[in-house]
Amino acid sequence: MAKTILIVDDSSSFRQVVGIALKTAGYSVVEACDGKDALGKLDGRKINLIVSDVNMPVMDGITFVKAAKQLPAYRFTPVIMLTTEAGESKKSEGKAAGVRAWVVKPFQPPVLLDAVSKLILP
Amino acid sequence: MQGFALKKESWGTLMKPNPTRDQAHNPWVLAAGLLVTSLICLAVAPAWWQAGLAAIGQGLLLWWYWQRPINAKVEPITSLADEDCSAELRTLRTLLSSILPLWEKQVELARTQTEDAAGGLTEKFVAMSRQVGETISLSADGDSHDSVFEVMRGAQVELPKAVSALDETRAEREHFLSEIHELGHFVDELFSMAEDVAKIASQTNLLALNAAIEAARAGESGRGFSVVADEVRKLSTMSGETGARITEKVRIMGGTMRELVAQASRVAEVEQGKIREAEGIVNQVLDELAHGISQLEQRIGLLQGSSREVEHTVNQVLVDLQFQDRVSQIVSHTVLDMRRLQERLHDVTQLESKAWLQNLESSYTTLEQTRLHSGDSRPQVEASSVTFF
Repeated sequence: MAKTILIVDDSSSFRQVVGIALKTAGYSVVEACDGKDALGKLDGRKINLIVSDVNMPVMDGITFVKAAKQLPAYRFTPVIMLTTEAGESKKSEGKAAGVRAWVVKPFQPPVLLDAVSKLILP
Repeated sequence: MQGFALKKESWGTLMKPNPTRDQAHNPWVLAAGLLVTSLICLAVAPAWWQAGLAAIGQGLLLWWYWQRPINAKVEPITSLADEDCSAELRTLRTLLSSILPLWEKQVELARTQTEDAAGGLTEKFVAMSRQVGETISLSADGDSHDSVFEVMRGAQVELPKAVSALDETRAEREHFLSEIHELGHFVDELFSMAEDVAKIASQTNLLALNAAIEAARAGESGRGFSVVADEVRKLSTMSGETGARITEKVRIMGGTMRELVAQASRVAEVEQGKIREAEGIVNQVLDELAHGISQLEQRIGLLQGSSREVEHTVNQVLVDLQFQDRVSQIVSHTVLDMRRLQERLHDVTQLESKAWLQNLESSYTTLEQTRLHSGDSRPQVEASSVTFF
């Protein structure tokens, strides 16, 4: 059975781009348009990894990760931030929130897939 | 925009030197005025000291006038500039209050249209790349090609075996015929033996005849012997007849066997030709199979190469399709700054450009925004990087 990845980004076209890259590699994807929407998707279903943007309306990525880490079922779900933010302060915030990897946009599919394969839960 | 430009020009005109103001400081004009007023005083005054006092008074009046016109003329100009500047600022504020929301809406419209177009492009690309991927994966499917190769290579092994089996059958038949041919020698021997039997019978008959002659010559005493000689002659005659029949049968049998061998040899020769023909056809089929396998392998190699190229191109397009997300963020930051300016227009005296620029710079998320702000006219987008924690 294909492993499932949650993609969180406010840009629908960007979610599609990430979706193509992941589906081509054999993963199944679930999409959410912001942090709040993503929390709604963490409803008990099996999520092997989360790929999230940082700057989003309604709820930003860092706040979402902090909230997701409070959910027992998703406490150990690895999170990759995929963002235009390249500043060290934001990276530190992400690390403190429990983010496992930080990929700066625009991403090369092999780079993202390499990070995913290293972190995804079995 | 045009009105704003005209106002800007008139504002600039005010900053130029005022020629009227320079003419008011001309000392020759002042001296001529003093002389005229002094002469009037001397002509009109009843006493010289009164005329002197009047002249001094006129002089002081002129001195005051010397000073006054400058202040009087500078002061109204300054007031006029302030008033104009205020008016210009009010006009500018009104203009910006009206136009900034429009700019914001226009930029937002452009951003939305870009996002919709990028979404459409992405959807079409998704469908296209999926179709291309499925086609290539079907064409370059290793399992199906392996099974085809397996069948073709199996045929390459099995077909020669069939030819070989036919060859073996032919060889066995040749061996069988050779055995039959060997029987021919026995027939010859039998024929020779039959002839020997005939000779023995003939000799025995001759002996019996001689014995009968000798028995007749012996008279009564040889009568018994004559009976025996007669019986021996009969037996030899019978033996001779039997030998003749054997000879005849062996001759027939030998002829039949030779005919059989000859016929079998002709069949074997035809069969050998057919087998060689089948072998030729099989070899031709095998050559065609080998050629087909070689071509198929080449095509699979090309397809696999194309598959890698398509994968590389898809990855590049995926990177390029991310432009909308970056453009949207850059536009959003610009719109937010325009909105901020609109909110602060009511008190422009509080605006401080350095702090404003610092605030704008802190809002950037992409490296190229920061580099553009720092003076790089065409900052390049850097390749993606990953940091593991």
